[in-house]
Amino acid sequence: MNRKAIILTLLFSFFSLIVTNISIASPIADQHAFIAVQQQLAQAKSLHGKFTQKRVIKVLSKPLLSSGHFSLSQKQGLKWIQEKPFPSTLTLSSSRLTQRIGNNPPMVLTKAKQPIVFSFSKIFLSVFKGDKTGLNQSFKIAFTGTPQHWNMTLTPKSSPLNKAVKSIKLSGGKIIKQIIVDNVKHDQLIIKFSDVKVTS
Amino acid sequence: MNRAFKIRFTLWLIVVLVFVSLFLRILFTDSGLNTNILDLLPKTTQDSSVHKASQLFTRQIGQKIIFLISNPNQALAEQSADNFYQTIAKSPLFSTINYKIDQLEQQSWASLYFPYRLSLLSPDDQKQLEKHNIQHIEQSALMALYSPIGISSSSLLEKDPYFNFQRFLTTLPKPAAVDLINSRPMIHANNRWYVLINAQLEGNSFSLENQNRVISLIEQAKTQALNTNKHTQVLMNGLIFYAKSGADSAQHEISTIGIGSVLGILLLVFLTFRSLSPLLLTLLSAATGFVAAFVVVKLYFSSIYLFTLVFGASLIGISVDYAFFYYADRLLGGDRWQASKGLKNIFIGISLGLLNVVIAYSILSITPFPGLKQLAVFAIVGLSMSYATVVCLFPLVLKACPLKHTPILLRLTDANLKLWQNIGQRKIKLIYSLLALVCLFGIVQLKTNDDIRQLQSLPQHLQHAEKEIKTLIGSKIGNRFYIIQADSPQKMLSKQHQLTSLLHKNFPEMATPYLSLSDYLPTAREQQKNYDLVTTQLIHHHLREYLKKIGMPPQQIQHTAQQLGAIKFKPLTLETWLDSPASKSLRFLWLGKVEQYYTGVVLLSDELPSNKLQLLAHQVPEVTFVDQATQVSHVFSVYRYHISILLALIYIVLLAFLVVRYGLYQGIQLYLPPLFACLVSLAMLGYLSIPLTLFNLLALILVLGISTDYVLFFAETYSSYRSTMLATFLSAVSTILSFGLLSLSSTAVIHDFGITVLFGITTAFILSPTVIKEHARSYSLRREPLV
Repeated sequence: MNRKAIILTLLFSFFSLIVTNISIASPIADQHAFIAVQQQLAQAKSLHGKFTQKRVIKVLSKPLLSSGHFSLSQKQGLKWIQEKPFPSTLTLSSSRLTQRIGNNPPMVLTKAKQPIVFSFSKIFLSVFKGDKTGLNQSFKIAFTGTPQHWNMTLTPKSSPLNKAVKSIKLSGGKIIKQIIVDNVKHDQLIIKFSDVKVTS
Repeated sequence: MNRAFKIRFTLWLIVVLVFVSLFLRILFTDSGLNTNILDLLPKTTQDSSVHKASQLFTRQIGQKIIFLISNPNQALAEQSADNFYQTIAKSPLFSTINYKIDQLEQQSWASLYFPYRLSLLSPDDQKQLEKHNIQHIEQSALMALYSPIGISSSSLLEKDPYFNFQRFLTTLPKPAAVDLINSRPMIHANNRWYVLINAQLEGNSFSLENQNRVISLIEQAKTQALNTNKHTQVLMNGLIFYAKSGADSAQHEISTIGIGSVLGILLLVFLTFRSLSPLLLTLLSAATGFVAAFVVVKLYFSSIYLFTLVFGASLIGISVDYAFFYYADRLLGGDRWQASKGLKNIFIGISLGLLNVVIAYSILSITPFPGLKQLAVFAIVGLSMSYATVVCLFPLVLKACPLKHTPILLRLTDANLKLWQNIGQRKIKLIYSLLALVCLFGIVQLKTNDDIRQLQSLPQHLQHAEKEIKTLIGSKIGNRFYIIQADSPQKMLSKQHQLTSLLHKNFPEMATPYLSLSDYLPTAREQQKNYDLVTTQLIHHHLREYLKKIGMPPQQIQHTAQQLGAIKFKPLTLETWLDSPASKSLRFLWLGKVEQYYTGVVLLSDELPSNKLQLLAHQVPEVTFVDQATQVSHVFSVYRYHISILLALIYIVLLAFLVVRYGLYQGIQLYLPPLFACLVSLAMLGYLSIPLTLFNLLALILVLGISTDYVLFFAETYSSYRSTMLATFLSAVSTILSFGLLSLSSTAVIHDFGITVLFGITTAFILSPTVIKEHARSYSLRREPLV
């Protein structure tokens, strides 16, 4: 592992990374489907469901597995409640991040005090919410499929994001089913969603 | 020609020639003009190294300019900013321009800190490790590993297994809420994309020549940006824009008001005397006074304050009175008028006038304030010289100039004289009583104000732009700062840490109360402490167990632990930090060695209260709080206080003087016009809701000097009240034209000065003939005229 790679990875968190030009590398037919999916995702006032997450880190002999439930609402942002392997709660809005393990006092980060943290979480929320403008700024978006069954590949447009993330693959139907984040150094994050309920 | 006159003239000429040659020498070598208003404070409160550091820093921040180029469309915003940048980038007028941030620079923060990562901890991690709360650190690490938004990778886990370094980097304060987008610092707000360009000027913001060059270049760049797209807007902020606007309005005002008053006086003199030579001679008397005063002040004090020069120039208003008085006497002296006899007619009047001013300013000079001392010396020397010119030169050049016509002004003043001569003492008493009542009501409404921020009338559009920019970049950082001095860079740094922790403790609710480089660099001692905490508590004890728990194979654990264990302590020094490209935008907070001290600066938020900041400065040695606006306001208030006391004292001395010379009744009668000139001025300020400032009081001293001249001229007139009335009128009109017109100024300070003079002199002029009647009855009968 070289130093540069680490530095670049760290930078992933250090600056916000947003890019110009709306460039959807999809055939015209798919664009309609893409817009439909966008609307589907954006329409949801809130959704909640279960997740399982697998983080593959090459230097570890086995992947890190976790599971729990989550909710996402326009107002409150994302609530990520992990039950296994240890209970923890993460809430993320555009200006506030709270992390809490078990019954320990929560760790609160606010945008006013630690704006850097929020540069990255902004992207994460965009991915989760299907926020078109947010995603377009940072990624090239390739879309295939129909509004019922679709795949979307997000490729970072510029440095330093592209030095850390190879691609983000999203797939789903009416709602998002899976997120796969591929690291340039072959580490990987897979999040699967189930029992997702939507309130519009 | 009288021999005595010739000797007097020769002496005068020698003195003038000496002064003029000295004046020219000073002018061509070093004018030594001191524009720093803080120097007007008594010397003990100013430490020279602090003063130097604060000047250095103020100059630096005065040279900064921020541009925000915006457009609703992101691409167009970037393009507009690029075009703007290209225009200014080529110019030598800027020493640095920060715009695009390349990859190397983006990585510079992480690259700078990475080798020192075991010595750098976020405040929370440091606290937990001090408490031996290893569990907390481990939990935070697990949280990061499992969190969907966590940034973890193989390489990170090896180099920073507990994510301490990551937390350190992400908790570093960010000076502005600006994001890096496409290598450009940008803000997305109000449905617009704003692109930030930061520039540092090469030259001085107060240099007029530099201002013109910079502003025209910026206009050019702005045109480039606006041509890119019609929706593009350019916001900018910098001291230079305020300085330029101030200089422009001052120039505009001085030229219109100045030309107006010069034309007015020219017309006045010409209409009255039908010749321009009186004007030239009058100006000569004023000019010799100014030159002599300048030379003496310069030689005695070595440097001369701008303050002295500006208010010293107001002496011209007094000095022309002597000449006018002489001229009026000549005008009405008829065919047989002789210069020497004319002089005798006015000699006592103008001598007493001068004596009065000398006493007034001598009282002013007792104060410990260098500004007032200078002003007093300037006034006394200047007026004495003007007086000498009138007394020594005028008798030689003035010839009888019989009245062939009755100038319109003379008819006016004659009418005024007649009017007053027909008003009885009883009526005059009534007028004074009514006036006293009017004054009383006005004066009770009078308020004071010394706040320079309110005295400066800053242009609205500039203030608006500044506010908008500050809101957009999320910065509350203002112009107040601490200067921190120490024997070594390390000590300076640790003092800064002491100070910033005090600030956090006192203002815990504030996210960014200050901007300090110490936030980006712990002291060597702190770093050593962090290193010891990390190595002993984490790496040597718990690391292996933790890595095993998250599933790292034994061989990999061995490798990771060995690699981390091999990192020796080496502090990140201020020098290294300063040399890194990462610190580019914060480097201005380090002033280097100023005199014998290593000096740094902590810039403060506008939201912090000055008095509290001042108190905190006392808690850390060699820390000075600098708030120039408040300091200047303080100078003003101290000066205002002292001058008002002195003014009262001068009025008492004046009364005593008048009573001693003219007896109780006459003395009081002569005393009333100068007194009411002052009271009416004050009352009008009250009625008009204009706060009393230092500048009003300085104007009142001028009013006092001139109005006392008027009554003394009347009191010492034995030949013709007509000439006195005419001289008084000429003096009043010229004073009003040269100073009263200043009340049209949009600059508050100048306006205040002008309006005070306007009301004071008008009142003095109107009331001065009230002294005639009684006096004419008693004195002119008792004494022979001095002719």
